[in-house]
Amino acid sequence: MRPILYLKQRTNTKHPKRYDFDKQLELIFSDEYDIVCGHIEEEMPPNIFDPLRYKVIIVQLNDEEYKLSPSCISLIISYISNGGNLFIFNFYEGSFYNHELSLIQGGSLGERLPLTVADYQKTQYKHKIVSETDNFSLEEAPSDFRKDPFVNLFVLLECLYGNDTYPVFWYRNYFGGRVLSLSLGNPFFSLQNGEISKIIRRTIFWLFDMI
Amino acid sequence: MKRKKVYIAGDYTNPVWHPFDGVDKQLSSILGDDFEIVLDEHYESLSLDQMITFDLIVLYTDHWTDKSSTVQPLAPNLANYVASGGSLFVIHFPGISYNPELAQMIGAAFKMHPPYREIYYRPNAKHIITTGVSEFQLFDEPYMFLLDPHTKRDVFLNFEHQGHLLPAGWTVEFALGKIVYLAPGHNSESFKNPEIREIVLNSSRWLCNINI
Repeated sequence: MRPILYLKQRTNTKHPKRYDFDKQLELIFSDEYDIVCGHIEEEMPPNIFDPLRYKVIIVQLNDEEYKLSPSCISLIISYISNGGNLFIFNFYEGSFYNHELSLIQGGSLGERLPLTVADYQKTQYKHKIVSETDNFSLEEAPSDFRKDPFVNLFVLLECLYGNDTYPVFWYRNYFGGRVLSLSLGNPFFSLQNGEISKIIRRTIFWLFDMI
Repeated sequence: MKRKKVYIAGDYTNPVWHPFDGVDKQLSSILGDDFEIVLDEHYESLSLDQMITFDLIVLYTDHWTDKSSTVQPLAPNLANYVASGGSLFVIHFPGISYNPELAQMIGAAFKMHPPYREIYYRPNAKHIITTGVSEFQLFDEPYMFLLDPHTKRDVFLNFEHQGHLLPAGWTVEFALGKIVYLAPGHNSESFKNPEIREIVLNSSRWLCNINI
C-alpha cells in the first residue's frame, strides 16, 4: 500500500478532539493507502521528510496560536522543493503565526465567518480533482482569505457567502512540489460530507498519478 | 579567529546593466578585513552542497534571466540554503524576484525604477544594521517594489519619492536563515559612499552573527 504521512499537533492543544481526522482519513482511503500518523515536531526524524518515502504529507495544526519551529519549517520547505506534496488541512489562524507556511500555501486565512449553511461550488478550472464533484451545501465556518499576489494559485472550490466567494480548496506549485490547502474541517464532521471526501480522495489519486 | 567565508556572485562577461567589474573591488575592500571572499560569475552551477560551505552568499548578479536555462536549479537551492540556516545578501538585483518562490522569501518583486538620479536615503535608527548611520544622498536608481504582504520584512532603509518614504533595504528571517535586501548599488560609485559601505558591512556582519 502507498504510504501517506499524516502529521498533527498533540501537545498543548486546546482542542484535543476537535480536529482529529485519523478515523476520517482511514474511512476515506479504506485499504488503498497506508495512513501513517505522527505528531508534528515530535517523533520526527529528519528523514521522514523525504519525497521518495512519502509522496504526500498531510499537515494539520489544531491550535490557532501554534507556531512551528524554524527547523520544522526548514524540513517542510526542503521536502516540497524536492518534489514532495504538502496537503494542509484547516489551517486557520495558524497562518498568522507561521508566516512561512502562509507564503508556502500562497495566502493566509483571515477572519472566520460564523458557522452557517452555505453553498460550495467549483470554479472555472476544469481539474481532474473536482471533475466528479457536484456543487453542495454545508454547515461550516468559512474564512476570509488573503491571496499572495506573487503566487499563481489554482482555486478549485469556493464558498458562496452573501455576495462574496471565498476560496476553500486550492493548490500551487512550489519549485518541484505542490502545496494543497483545504480550509474546511471546522467542525471536523465536514469531512464526512461525501463531496469533500471525494475531493480529498481524488486529490491523493491525482498526486499519485492515478487519475 | 577563523574568518567567515563569503561567496559573491556577479557578472563579468557581457553584463547587461550592472557589470561586476569595479563593484567586486569595492565589495572586497568593504568586506576584506572580516571575511574570506570568493568572487565568481559561474553562480548558476552552484549546488546546495557548495552553498552550505559558505557563511554568506551575496548576489550582485545581472544575468539571472539570460541564464534561465541553467539557473533554474539555483532557485530551489537558494531557498533551501536559506531555510536550512544560510545567509543571503541581495544587492541591487531585481531579477531574483522573477522567481515567485524567491520573491516571496525576499518579500518583494521589482516593478520599475524612475531614471538614475540623486536620491535621499533615510536609515532606520532603530534597526541594528543602521543604528548610527546618518541620512545620506546618493546617485542611484530608485527601485520600486511590489511588496509581499505575507513576508515579515524589517525595513532599515527608506528613500524619499514624491513626498513618500519607500523601502530600499530590509531584513527577513526565513525558517532558520536570514536575508538582507539592499536596493542601492547601481555601479561601483555607489559603494564609495561611506554610508553604503557601513550598511554593506553591517548587513554582512548581522547575516554572519558577527557583532556590529
